[in-house]
Amino acid sequence: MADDGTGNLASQSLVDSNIDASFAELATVVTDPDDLPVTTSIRPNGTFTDAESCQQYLETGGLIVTDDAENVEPIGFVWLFKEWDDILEQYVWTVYIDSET
Amino acid sequence: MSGRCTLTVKRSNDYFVSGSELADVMSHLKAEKTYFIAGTHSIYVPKGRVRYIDKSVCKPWLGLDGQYRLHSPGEAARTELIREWPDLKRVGWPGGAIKLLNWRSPMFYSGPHVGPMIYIDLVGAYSQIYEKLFLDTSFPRGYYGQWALGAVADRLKVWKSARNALIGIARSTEAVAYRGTARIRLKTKNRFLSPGLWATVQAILHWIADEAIKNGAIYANVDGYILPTVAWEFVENFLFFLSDHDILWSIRDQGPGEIVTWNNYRVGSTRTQAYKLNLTHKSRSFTNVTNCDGEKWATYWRNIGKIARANGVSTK
Repeated sequence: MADDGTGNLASQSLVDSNIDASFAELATVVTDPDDLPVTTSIRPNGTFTDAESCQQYLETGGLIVTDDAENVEPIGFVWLFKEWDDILEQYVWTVYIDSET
Repeated sequence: MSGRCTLTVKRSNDYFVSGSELADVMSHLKAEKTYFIAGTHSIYVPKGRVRYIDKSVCKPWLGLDGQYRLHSPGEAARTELIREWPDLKRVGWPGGAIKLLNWRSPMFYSGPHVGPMIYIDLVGAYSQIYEKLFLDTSFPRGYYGQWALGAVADRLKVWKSARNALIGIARSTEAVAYRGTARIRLKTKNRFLSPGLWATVQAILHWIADEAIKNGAIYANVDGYILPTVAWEFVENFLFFLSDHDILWSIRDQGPGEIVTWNNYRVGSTRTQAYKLNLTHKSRSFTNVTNCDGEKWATYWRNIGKIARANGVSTK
């Protein structure tokens, strides 16, 4: 069990699914590298473990916008590749941007 | 002009001169209205492609041609970056990230203070942070990149000024030129410009400075923190925080102290130039230290340490 930040205890799987959902709001998430688009201009561009940092990064680069209702809207051609990291022992999400868009 | 200077070493168009001779050269060029570009410890005159360098800051360093010759700290840092990534054209970042260069080093001044104090500073602050990062570190709290800085940091660790110069290169966007009394700002091409790296290093320094302030620091500047020792438990707390996070620190001085104003203080036998001159001007208290996301930066710091160790970077 894990503290979900509201004083209640949430199961680890619920916490994980919340993190997954937060990343899924930002861009298309893939877990198989073959699902990344095959273009010469696509490149990795930052790896994050929490969606808030990833969102700040994408906002700074103008790759998403956040409207008044705090909904985020992806702009352009961004993917997130989710994979397990053996060093950090947690999932990490790598931003892939197609620089031609 | 050469008649006024004692030129000790000459290599192509580089002249290594003393600090006072460098000042003389600059005065002469201004008087003659000769266009020149001023560096931190050097002057470059495009006409004739002549460079004057303050030899007092230089050391023999292995050049890219395999020959040892005198390098300035910035030149040595740039040499190591080029040696590591000779074909790098630019670091690259999403458009808006250039704003990250607006990050400034942490500064905190809480007003005049007299009493026993301790002055703690970080050991090789910039390098102990960037050695765990990448030239293309993304901000905020981005892990991994294409160009790990560990090897460059390792080669520069024997020369403090050069290892500090690296982080200046990461944010350098302009140079200053003079013609007579006219000062001209030049935009420079810098293939190692990295807003993400610069902002990440500064954010980590802000996180540490914020922790120092929470533990009673009365003065902080970049990587140095002055705390009163009357409440020793706070000093211990801060030192425990540093050690617990594997942040290397040292005690620069401690003893009776007086903070007159910003950059005017003594702690034990350490005295700033303004203090020695007995200057009395006082500035208002101020801070630019941000305290947001401290826990996240703490987690990030631990994680980049793990990654660096896994990649064989000695973090001690």
